[in-house]
Amino acid sequence: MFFDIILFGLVALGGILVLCGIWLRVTRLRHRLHQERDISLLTYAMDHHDAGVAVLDPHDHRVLYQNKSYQCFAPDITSVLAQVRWDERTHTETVHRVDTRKEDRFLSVSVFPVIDNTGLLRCWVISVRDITQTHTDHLLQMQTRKLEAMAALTGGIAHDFNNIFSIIEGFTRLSQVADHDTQHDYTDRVLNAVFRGADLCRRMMTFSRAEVQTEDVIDCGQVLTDHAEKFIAHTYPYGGRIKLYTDFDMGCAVRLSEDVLFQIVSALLQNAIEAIDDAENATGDIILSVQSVSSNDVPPAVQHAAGFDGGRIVKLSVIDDGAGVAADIAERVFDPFFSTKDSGRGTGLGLSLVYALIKNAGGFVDFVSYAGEGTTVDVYLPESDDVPQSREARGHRNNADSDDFDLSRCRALVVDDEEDIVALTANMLRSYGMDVLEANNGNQALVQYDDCDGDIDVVITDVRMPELNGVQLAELIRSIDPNVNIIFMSGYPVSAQGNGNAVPVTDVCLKKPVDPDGLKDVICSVLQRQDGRQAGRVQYWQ
Amino acid sequence: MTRFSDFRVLVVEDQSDVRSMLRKVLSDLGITQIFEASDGREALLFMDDAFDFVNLVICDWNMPSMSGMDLLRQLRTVNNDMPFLMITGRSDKDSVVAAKGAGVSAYIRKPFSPKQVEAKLRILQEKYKIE
Repeated sequence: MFFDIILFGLVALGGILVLCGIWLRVTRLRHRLHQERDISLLTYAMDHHDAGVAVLDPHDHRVLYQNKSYQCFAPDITSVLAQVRWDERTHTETVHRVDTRKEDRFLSVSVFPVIDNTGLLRCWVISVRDITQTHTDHLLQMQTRKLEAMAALTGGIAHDFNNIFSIIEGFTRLSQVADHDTQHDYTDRVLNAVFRGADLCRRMMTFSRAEVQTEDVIDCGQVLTDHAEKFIAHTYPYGGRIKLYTDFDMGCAVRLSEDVLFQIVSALLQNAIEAIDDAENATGDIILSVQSVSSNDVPPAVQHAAGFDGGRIVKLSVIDDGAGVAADIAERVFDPFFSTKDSGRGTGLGLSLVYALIKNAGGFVDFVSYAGEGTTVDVYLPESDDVPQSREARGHRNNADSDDFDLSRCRALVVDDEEDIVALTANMLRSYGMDVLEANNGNQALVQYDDCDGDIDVVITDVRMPELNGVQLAELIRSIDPNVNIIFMSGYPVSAQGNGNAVPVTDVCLKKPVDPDGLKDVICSVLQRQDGRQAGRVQYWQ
Repeated sequence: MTRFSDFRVLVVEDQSDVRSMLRKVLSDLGITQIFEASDGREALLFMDDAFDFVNLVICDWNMPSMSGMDLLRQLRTVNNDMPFLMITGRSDKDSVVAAKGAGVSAYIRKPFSPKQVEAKLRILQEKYKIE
């Protein structure tokens, strides 16, 4: 009986153990089934995902796992993986161009390092996506924008110059048959048209290769306070409902020339005035303000876009409550020749010029506008630590007294690839009594120089010429006679010459079109300096 | 093709180091056909065969046995239009006038820089239409 009980107990225990075993096995089996189901689900998901995903060995980048999409990328991916950055600290994403036989493809490749709890690199996860379509769409969009801007640009230039040429042609023809007094009036009109054209050219060149680098440090507030009233009243004889409120902080020092500041303010004011003209319910108030603000007060987006890193910022604002523009137009206001105004009212160069000038001065322009409510343009410029100079200190650097100097004994050589410019300059010089030699290119100039054994007091040369440019010509002439006087003429700003066209800073460079009196002054000052040449070469003149 | 690649130059100079320097300067300017003579006599011998071929003579003024001026006079008896570039250490007015009178096309004063050679070649090219 006792044994029976023990036997029964053992059998029962055995049964329980067996049952436990079975239960354990089933549980394990179920767990494995779950796991397998998860894995197969994961594999299914992975294989139907359009991104290629792979797990690579942490050391030799051997493929440990890859999904189906990744296998499709496989032929190209080896070369791409050779270019990616393997950074164990962070994930990197790069775009690669792959040449396939048919077409170029763009792949976006992400590399994730997988780090375990102990901080060891376990594997790399690579994710590859084909972004060719998005990329191409984006490029296409950019190209369309560019073409639109180009069309506006060429159209705008053609339109403006056509007007100018019509004026010149018309009045020239009229003056051919006019009596003496009227003729004078007509030639004045022709001259004005030419000035307008030259001004337009200068503005376009400022836009295309603008360099506003300057030694001048001005106090924006001071300069505007001193001159704005007169300058604004003179430029825009506004009246009626337009009222200008100004608020200038003093001590806003920026590295900018006075001319550039006036150009910017004048363009912004003109836009504001025209916006008010276009809106019937506008009050006509324009606020022009200059403030010195801390960089923290600048909107973060602006701070980021402009790359300001601390320090104080000068903020110049023009606010109007005129017509304003819609968001899609606001995007394009900086495009050259883009204009919302009717043909004949404004060139569409104003804001693009402001943009170019400010960008080159290291600043940023923020344009905020709502249709029907008005526009705010904020110009941000980094404040300069230097002390602003007085107007006198910035004034003309060179004041040669041309009346004292007799040019009639002097000989000049004029070089320009434009025959008319040579003729014009030569005639100017002859009118001062000078003996003038002419050349239409650098090589001719060298021959002329050699023919008279270098007996030339001053060489006046264009900078941009085909084959041998002015700077190269100067080098060659100076190799023969290091002491020769050379004056450059250029349609471009001195500092904006392209490669190989940079006029040495010690040389004189005149802006085209050259004004007769200016030319005479410069020649006199250069020739006068000849005696004091040992004391150091010429400083620049602009 | 460079601007000066059509030049076929005879360099007459008694000092071999100046000769090789000139060769260097000329080849840097893109001239590939450069011939050398170490004195006037050798130059004349060479020119006997090459009068139609060579289109520029660069010659030193001061050489033993036959000076640059003597060579120039001899050459001018055959061809008055041969571009002749005289290299000279003399810069006095009389020498320059004498050289011009004898028909020197251009001259370079010693010491000279590669730029100076380039300037003179451009002048000769423009004057003599060497193309």
